[in-house]
Amino acid sequence: MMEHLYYDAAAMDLLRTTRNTLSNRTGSWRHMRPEFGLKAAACAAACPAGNPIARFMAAASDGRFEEALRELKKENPLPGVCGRVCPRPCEAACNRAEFDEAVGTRAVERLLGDMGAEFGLCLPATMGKTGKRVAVAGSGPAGLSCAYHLALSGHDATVFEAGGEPGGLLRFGIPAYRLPREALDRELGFIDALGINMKTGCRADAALAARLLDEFDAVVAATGALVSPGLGIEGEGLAGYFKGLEFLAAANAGEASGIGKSVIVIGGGNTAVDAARCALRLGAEDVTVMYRRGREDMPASDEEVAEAQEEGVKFVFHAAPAKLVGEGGRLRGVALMRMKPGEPDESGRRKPEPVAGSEREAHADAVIEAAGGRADNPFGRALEVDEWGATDNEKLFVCGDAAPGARTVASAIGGGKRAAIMADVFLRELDIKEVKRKVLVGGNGAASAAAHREGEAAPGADGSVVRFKNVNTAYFSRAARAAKLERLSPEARVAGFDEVSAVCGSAAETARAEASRCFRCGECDDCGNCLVFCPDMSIIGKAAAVGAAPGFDGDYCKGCGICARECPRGVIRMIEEER
Amino acid sequence: MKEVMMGDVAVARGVKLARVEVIAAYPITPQTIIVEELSEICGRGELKARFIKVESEHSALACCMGASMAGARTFTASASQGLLLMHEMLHWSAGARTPIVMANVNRAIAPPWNLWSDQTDSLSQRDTSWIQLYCENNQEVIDTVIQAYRIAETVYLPVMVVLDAFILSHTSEVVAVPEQEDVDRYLPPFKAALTLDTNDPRAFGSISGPIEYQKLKMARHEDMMGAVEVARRADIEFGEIFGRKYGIAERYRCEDAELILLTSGALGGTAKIAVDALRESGAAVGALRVRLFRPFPADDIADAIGGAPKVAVIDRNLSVGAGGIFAQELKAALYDRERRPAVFGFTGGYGGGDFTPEVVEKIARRALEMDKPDSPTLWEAIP
Amino acid sequence: MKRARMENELVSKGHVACPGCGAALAMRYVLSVLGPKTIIVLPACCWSVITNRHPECCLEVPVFHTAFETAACVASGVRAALEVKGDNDTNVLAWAGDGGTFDIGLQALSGAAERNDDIIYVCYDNEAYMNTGVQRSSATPWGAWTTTTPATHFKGQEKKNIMEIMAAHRIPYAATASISMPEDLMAKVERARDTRGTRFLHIFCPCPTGWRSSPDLTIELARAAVESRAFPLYEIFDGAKRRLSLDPAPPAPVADYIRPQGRFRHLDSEQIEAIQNRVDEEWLSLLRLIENNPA
Repeated sequence: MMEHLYYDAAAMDLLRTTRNTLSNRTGSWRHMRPEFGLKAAACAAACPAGNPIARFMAAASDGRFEEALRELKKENPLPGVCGRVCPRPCEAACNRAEFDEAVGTRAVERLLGDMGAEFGLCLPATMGKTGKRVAVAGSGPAGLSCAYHLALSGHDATVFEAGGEPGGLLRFGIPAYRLPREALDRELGFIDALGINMKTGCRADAALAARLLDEFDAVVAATGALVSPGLGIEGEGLAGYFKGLEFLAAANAGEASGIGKSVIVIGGGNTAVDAARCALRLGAEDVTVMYRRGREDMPASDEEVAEAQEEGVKFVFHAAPAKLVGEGGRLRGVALMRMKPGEPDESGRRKPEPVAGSEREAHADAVIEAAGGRADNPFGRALEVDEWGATDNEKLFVCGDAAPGARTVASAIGGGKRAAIMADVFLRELDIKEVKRKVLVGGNGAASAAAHREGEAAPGADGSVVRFKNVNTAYFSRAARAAKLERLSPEARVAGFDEVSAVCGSAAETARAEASRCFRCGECDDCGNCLVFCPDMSIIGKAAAVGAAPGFDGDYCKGCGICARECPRGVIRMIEEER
Repeated sequence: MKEVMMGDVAVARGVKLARVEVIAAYPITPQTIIVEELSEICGRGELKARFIKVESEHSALACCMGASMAGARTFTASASQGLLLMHEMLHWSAGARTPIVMANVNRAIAPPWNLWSDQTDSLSQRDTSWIQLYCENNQEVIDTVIQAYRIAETVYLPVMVVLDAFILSHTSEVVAVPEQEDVDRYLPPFKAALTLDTNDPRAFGSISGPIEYQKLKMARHEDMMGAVEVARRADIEFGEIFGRKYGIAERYRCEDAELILLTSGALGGTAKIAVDALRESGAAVGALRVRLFRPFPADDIADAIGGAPKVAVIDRNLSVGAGGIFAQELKAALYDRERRPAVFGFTGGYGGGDFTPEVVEKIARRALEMDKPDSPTLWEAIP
Repeated sequence: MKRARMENELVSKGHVACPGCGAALAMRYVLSVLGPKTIIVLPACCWSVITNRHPECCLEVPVFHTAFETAACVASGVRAALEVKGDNDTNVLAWAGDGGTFDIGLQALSGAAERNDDIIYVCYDNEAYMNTGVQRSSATPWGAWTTTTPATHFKGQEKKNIMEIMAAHRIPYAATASISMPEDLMAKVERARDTRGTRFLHIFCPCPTGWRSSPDLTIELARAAVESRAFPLYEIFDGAKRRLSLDPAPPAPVADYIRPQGRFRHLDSEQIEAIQNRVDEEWLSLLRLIENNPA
């Protein structure tokens, strides 16, 4: 046989390839790079309590409710409470609103909170004990939230409550028809479960305040804003005149009496509306809420106003009391003035001015003043408090209504959490700048206690918030809201203090269906889009667990940006490559 | 066993004996008998090949190239326009080093339409890196098809077996058909050096830079030059088994010749008759038939010419604007040599008409009369 | 969307496709299903460059580079050789662009299809000769700019209907697919893999370079083409029975698909309306075909 000429291996390798393209680092082509990292959803950035909405929605949409509740409780000890009384800033910010309808986040939160009856408290993991003792004055939402997060951080928290039971405003300020006591008590159960010391009947006066500052490693003032300024008009000494918070406390304790048939409530906030609705439930037949500004300026939630109107509460706007009129020490009525909007004040609202000659008298058996309380901080009336709750005294922190800022339950929970984080920073001598840089959800929202405890950055701590334009709606289909509220008939409502609203349908099905509507903005759920749609196979690190975003292979990624564009939930964004 | 058969049939029988595995072809006169005969052979199950009846010659060769790359022994056949349509794939298949064997029946290129012999179709493919073997008769056709596989599969270059239209393709001659077992002894099963193998995935023909490209082309050139020796030995070994051999350039009565007639294809046989007549008349004329073309066996040809002062090349082809193609090749091959005879480049006989011994004699006498050619291209019309 | 499963990753990093290349994705998806027992025949097209230059190749399967018009017939030859060798499970994949399919390779494709040769033929359609620098092909849509149909004289002819040409060959399986729907695409590759005979896949692959579109929009444009019905997804069985893969109802306006592309920038709203009308007509005629002979 002849030998083959063409068996020269070197020549053969000119005809055929010998290796793959891994030596060709196409990453050098790139001028933009994908940045992976959990972003804050618009809802989370708007939530004053810092609820990890996308996270718990992910678990709930899968029917993993216990996990969902645990996720929620990493940030918020009171989901059953917030799920009822929150004015829903999350839903107002929800990206889905631009797609079809905002996700019913509050309803899901409520359903999850109530599942605590089944799952128990679902407390998240606690850090090791530090041996540090922290006193918290006040057991309202701020104090509870603060004590809770202190305890989760391993500190020994003691709560001082003036009343006989913990809960503060939640207990005496919010009527049971909005927040049933069993829902409240269930969530207050974490106090025992976490080993928080609860000292009831201990009013934090100046003496106690001084003692706490002396005896504890850190002190948090969460004493609320309970001092009623009064109307400042003639007749406040008449029988039949009530201060709103005192009236509500009595009503909620079942001790209110002497309300009469005809009631006028002065004020425009939720306290006013609650007082009016309580009055109806206590036998009043003719209840009017009187507000010196217009409807559009009223701080009470639309929902509450609507419910009150259904129940028969009347609203009179642009009217203010000039004096209370009485007979034999007993209130008979109110002398009213019509008001007109004047020049805008510092809040941007137009300041009401009386209309001359408009005075007239309206009959009333009772007048309830509900103009809003002010703080009387036993740790110092003129205390300077920054937005983190810190004061000039490095061991003293202030939160809740005692501190400046919005006065909602959610804000109080968020404030308590911030104070707890600041106290923790103080007690552990952490780098405060670093902590502040890392813990704010969306860079400007509530603090994430979980991120602080775990030493990680909160979602979107660098300021990246997922807006509607960052959501790729191609991956979502339109779906009507699943979680709807049903309400008792107005007649049934006013007959007692039964809870007015309930979430329709089976809790599990509704929670799951509504949670499935959530885009879960900013949250990687390992959908695989970035992986599957990368023309350069440059997505690496499959998400090990929900919440962990993948990374990219800088050696090969050409920076096309498909991953960012096709990420359904805005986890990836393209940033300028630094070279 | 001896049989009477046409040249086209001889091609088909050679293909069968070579145990070809994949055939892809498209019909064109005067090649059609090859595809018809192969269809019959495959239809009868005498050859277990996949015969793909493609929609064009271009696809025929592309198809063979794919099959060859996947490890099959392949065959196609064409002529004239068909071969020209294949042109791109001629380059590609050779560049891919696929040892395809093709039969090309030399036919004139249109226009005007003309079905008769003209070597311009195959010779104009001389730069495609295909080896070409020109046959004188049908016995040589069947034998050359078998030899072609030996050569192709040794140097990994495709081989074209060339036969004249009608003069061979459609003319019946007695052919001694080789025995299958002898052919099997001569031609082992095809073993591809380069193959599309999913266990060893490689890409063939990827974009290359100038250095790789030139290296590859030079390697192809060297292998092509080596094919002279491969073809010579393939023929010798064939002779050892079958008792017939042809050489790569066949000499006939060249000793002491004053003039050598250089021919190719069927004209080689005509030239032998003419030489006999010329010798009888006292003219010292010999004949030399080029069988292997590309590579041009220059040394063999120079050796055969020896000291003869004149060579008359008879080209049944014409490279318009340059002359007969064999004449050009010969002149180029002799230029650097010490002994450079006068080369008379005659062309004619393309597009039909019998190139009879008388015509060849006439050409020889014209060359003998002249000291040197009075024109680089001399034309001899056929009456 | 459920996560598309990638069984095999046979395209290696470091290939030289342009950023955002749709054709690169198409190859990933198809090879993911066909797996390593696949031989690719690659005519002149973007992909003959994407593999990268010698001695590298980004494809982890054997590849034979061949002339522009020969994808189908070379594949037929490969298949024939495999058959002779008794190998019936290796996939033979002819992988050509729109130029190599709609134009120069149509004859060879027609031949292979008529013979029903056992190959999978994928046309990745980026609607012009992109590798040579964006020249018009018969797959270029009406109204598009290319370097040979300048905006002042944009393409005035409709895109050739390659699917119906293939249907006329009565091949057992033909389907359109979009890189924006990898699951559907891969299911079709699977169906093709499990069918014998000539199988044809027409894969719509946006080309940021040639479409003058932002590279990050590749998937979005592919999706918009489907959702606007400009590129309907359907299958044809035995050249007769048809099945719609997706009915985008209500369809998105074609303008959503047209507007982000620089190659259509010169069109005014009337011209876009004309495209819309054409798309609507084509959709209706496709629906009629499906109604007449549903799969």
